[in-house]
Amino acid sequence: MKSTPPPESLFHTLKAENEPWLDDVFVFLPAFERLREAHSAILYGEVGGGKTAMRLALTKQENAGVFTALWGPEPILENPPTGTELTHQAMRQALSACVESLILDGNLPERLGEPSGHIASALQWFLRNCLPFHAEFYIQSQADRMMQEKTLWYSKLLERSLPSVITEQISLKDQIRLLLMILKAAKYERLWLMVDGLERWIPYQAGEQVETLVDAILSTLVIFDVPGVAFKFFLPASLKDILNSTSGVERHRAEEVMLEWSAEDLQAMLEKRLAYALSKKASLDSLCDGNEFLNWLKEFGGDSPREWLRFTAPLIAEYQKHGRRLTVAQLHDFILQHPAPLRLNRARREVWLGKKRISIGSTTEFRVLEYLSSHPGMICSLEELYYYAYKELDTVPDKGETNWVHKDTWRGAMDMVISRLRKKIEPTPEGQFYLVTHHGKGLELLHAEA
Amino acid sequence: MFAERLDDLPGKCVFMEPAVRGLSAFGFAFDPFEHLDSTKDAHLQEYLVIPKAVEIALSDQPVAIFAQPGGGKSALRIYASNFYKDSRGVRFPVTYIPETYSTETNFHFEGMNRSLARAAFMYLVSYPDLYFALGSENKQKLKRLLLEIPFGLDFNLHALSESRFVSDLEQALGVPAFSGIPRLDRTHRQLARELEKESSSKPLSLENCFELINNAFGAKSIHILVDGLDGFMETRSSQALTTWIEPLLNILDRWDQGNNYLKFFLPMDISDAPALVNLSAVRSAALIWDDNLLAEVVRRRVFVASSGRFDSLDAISAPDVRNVELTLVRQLGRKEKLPRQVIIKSRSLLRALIVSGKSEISSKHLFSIGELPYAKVL
Amino acid sequence: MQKSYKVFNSAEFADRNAEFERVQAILQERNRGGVIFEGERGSGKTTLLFELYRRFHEQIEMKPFLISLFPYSAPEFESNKNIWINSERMFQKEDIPNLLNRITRYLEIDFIETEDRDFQKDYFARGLAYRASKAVPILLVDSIYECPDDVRTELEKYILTPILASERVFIVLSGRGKRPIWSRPELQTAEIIELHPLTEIFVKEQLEKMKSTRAAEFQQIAELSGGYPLIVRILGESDKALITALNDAIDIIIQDTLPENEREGKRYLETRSQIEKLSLVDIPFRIPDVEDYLYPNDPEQRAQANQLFNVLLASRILRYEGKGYQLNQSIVHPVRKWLALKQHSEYRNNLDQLKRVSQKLQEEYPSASTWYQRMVPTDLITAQH
Repeated sequence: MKSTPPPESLFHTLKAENEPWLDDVFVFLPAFERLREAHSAILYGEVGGGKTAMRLALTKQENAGVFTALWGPEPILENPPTGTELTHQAMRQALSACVESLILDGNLPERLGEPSGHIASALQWFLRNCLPFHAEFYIQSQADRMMQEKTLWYSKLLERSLPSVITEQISLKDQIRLLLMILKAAKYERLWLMVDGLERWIPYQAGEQVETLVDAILSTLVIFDVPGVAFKFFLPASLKDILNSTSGVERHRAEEVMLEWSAEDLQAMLEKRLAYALSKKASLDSLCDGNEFLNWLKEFGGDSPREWLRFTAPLIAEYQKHGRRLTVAQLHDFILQHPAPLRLNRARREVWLGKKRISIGSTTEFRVLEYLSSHPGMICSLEELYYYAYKELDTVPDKGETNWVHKDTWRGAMDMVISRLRKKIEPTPEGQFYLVTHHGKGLELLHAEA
Repeated sequence: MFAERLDDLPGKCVFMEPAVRGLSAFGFAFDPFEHLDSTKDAHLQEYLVIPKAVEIALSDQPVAIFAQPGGGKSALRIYASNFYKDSRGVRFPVTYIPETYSTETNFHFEGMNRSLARAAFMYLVSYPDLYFALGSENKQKLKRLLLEIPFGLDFNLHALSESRFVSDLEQALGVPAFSGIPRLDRTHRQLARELEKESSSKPLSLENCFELINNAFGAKSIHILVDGLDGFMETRSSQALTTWIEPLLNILDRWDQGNNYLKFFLPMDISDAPALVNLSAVRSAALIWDDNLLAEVVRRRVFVASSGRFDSLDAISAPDVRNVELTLVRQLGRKEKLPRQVIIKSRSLLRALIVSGKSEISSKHLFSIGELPYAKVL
Repeated sequence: MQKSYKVFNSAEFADRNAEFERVQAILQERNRGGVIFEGERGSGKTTLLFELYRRFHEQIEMKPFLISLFPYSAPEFESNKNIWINSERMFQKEDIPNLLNRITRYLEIDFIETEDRDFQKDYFARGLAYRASKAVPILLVDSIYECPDDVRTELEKYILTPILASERVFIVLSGRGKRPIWSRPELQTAEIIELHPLTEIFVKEQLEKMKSTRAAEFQQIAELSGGYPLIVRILGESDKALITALNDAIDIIIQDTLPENEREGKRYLETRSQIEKLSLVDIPFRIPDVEDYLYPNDPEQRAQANQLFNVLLASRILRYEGKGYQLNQSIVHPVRKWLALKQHSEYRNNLDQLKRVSQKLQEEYPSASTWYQRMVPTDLITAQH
């Protein structure tokens, strides 16, 4: 039984893992269709673009007899190998992940029942050789995550005395074939290895090693090409250029797919969530003038679900507060009160409103915003802003110091700078929604985000 | 557009194959452009286009075939293997694809030994009664040959007596069966028992294995198809690759005399390596594609996928659209003139047609593949 | 209905010297390979294959084996061991082990016997592949294009492919309509010899050999039949007026290709009338081109046309050729002759309707207008006025 979650959770939670309702609100994108085909594929997408949602939806394919195993590659920190040995270590990690997935997520006891000798001995071999620690101990340690019968089944299997599998000189490809043999006996037709979770390493030193690892696997995909096995990579878009030259990609061993959302897709996503959170009949149009709001989302929400969801969340609250559809005036008012957050990229000197980039030509204008945004919640005097923007000084000099300039000299220029900035960022000509003047005191920047 | 269509479905993730469903409206029984990877393509034998020059791949002599990545090297190798397999082993195929990299002297020969053991095992599984008719010496030698099989003979004999279908063994060993026998039955169990009982000493040497395949199975020649040599980080440079295969080049002459032929499938960039150019024992050819051949690649696929109803995409095009295949090929850049690229191009065209909801290919489809919705997918 | 034309009689065989020479040349030039005779309904493929078989049978160094897949009889070969023929029923997949047994015995091939009957065919096939004999086997299979796909693929897998494993072997096939999808390169690249209709002088020869009472009318028969031996034979045997005999001939050549339930009654009459309409279309056509012509003002015209095309495709009297579908000329020709002779009012209506459709298509596809202009046969228009 599922209970309807509070509406805001559908618009705030941006981690697919935490969304039990994903099935009901999932939007099919062309990219998803490509990903579902039997061959290996790489899905590139931005953070918050819905990669994980796609992975989860793929995992839930009940019809096709596909066993999916999740593998989050780990960097090899001590004496990282190179060449084929690196690939082997990566594949060993991957196999290990498969075996763990099989134990924890697969239901082999039910599917295999009393397995025949060779299947049992193959499985025993994998348990003994591919788990992070001693097989018996591993099974016991996972007991709280498994049904009791399952734990017993595995323990019994490990006790059985079985014909040995000779694995001297057995290649990793053969190991994959052997694993597939077990899966087929358990009525799984295919094995999909989902490679995800690289984002957590990218910001760190280890990120580079994980990249190398993925690179190595992609380059040698041909060696692990076993019919019935496919790799599905879920990678941050930033890796695309790095991996483009690997031979796996070059030779189309893995197909590259970009996760992209059109405005229609994003709208569909919002509508689905609204219908799920509020009522079956709910839609953007039942909250307000849908087109008007959509146009605004298209302008500032960019092309990934994250901002669209975020911008819509307060609209729902507003709608619930009113208890009825917002009038045109109310919607306008709402948009002005909840403008897109202003963000600065200092390194690249860029100003963004939501996902819309604002072109700021002059350095002084940028520096004014920079100063204001580094003093959140504070009113900054025009003087402070002038010295920071024009003179690159963090503090206002005292009268008489060499850098001091008379107010009359710069007052006009500063007014011009502020007025130009307002033209660029404020939603209405007269409005002060971002840059607010506190008479006699100075300026405050609102709706800014780090 | 997508979401709207799928909105009609109940909340659960229901999975459909819009591409395939859409294709059937155009008379296709399956998607002719689905597979870029020949190893997984069930229709390869029916629609592979083979340029004249590389037909030597099927002849009785040592051969080197060179190709660009995506140029159809593996497809030709699989085609050759099926071709020999269809001879019921009169020409006995052994596929050797190294699965790891090592510079040990005997590395390739040991690998071939294992490949041969797999193939011989599958041959016996294909014709189990053959084994019972063999003399005791051959039986014993066969057991010795089979000792090299991956996972060990013991394991494989258990698999043989416990599995139900030949395909289970084919998958585990990565070698196709020679006959059309689908089920494993009591004859196979008897084979497993007899092989188990047979006394075994040390494994058989590779050249003795060849002899055995000839004597016991009646093979007139053995064809060892060597592919995937350039799949390793260490063998990316042509120098390293030629060094790696040198031991194989040195035995060509000797093996030739016993009707055992090595067939190399190699990357184009080593075609001018001196070690290969100076070899008189091996005949070489390059897989090279011209516009007409590439158009033929598409046409053959269309023919097979439409169950022979038509042989060109012209059949599903507006009457003023002609020569669809050649037009697609000509849109490719000079370096893109490879089967894989034209297949991708044709695939995009069909997808664009389906997405557009039109009933025939128009010149708009043909010339704007890159701008249609499916172009989101690279 | 008379079925006498499903009998081979070598005494009645006329011409085809060019084809024999081609086959002889191929046999001498090459070590091995395949030849396929393609031809329209009634063009004499079966008779030619039987005649080839008869001639090979007389040569000591040859080992021919003929497989006739459709009901046929050949009294003169009744006692031969190297033929598979049945006058009552079609060849079936289940016949393969017996057929293999007969071939292996005829070619004196050793094979392993197995207890499991289902598996025996695999051992037969293996034996066939390992065959070691001096004589060159020549396998002749009649009407292989027309047999069901599953039968054809089994024949390919268990008989054609293993026999092709040997150094010296020839395969001679015949077929009508769409080409099958072969998986063997020898079959994909087999030499295709097209069987053309007979010229007037050989029509005369055929009529004389069959001792027809109409031999004197050979010129008229040649013109009406278009030189297709089967039609010549039906016209030559008939004692009815020529125009009636031609009508009978058209029925015979169409009916025999259709599925059982389509051969008689209203269904057949409908099919025949649509075939008459299609016979007038002078260019290769696509379904959308002719649906309005075949089923004017019918909201279900696309579905109707699809159904008709499926029947005709399965009958192999329609095939796709480059730019569109085309009916067998051996049907188009006599049908046009017959229509012109009859001068039905329906015939005029059909021509008018075809002109309208052609006009409409020219407007719809301006860049293909010259193509659609050619849709209406000019010779018939002039004949009409």
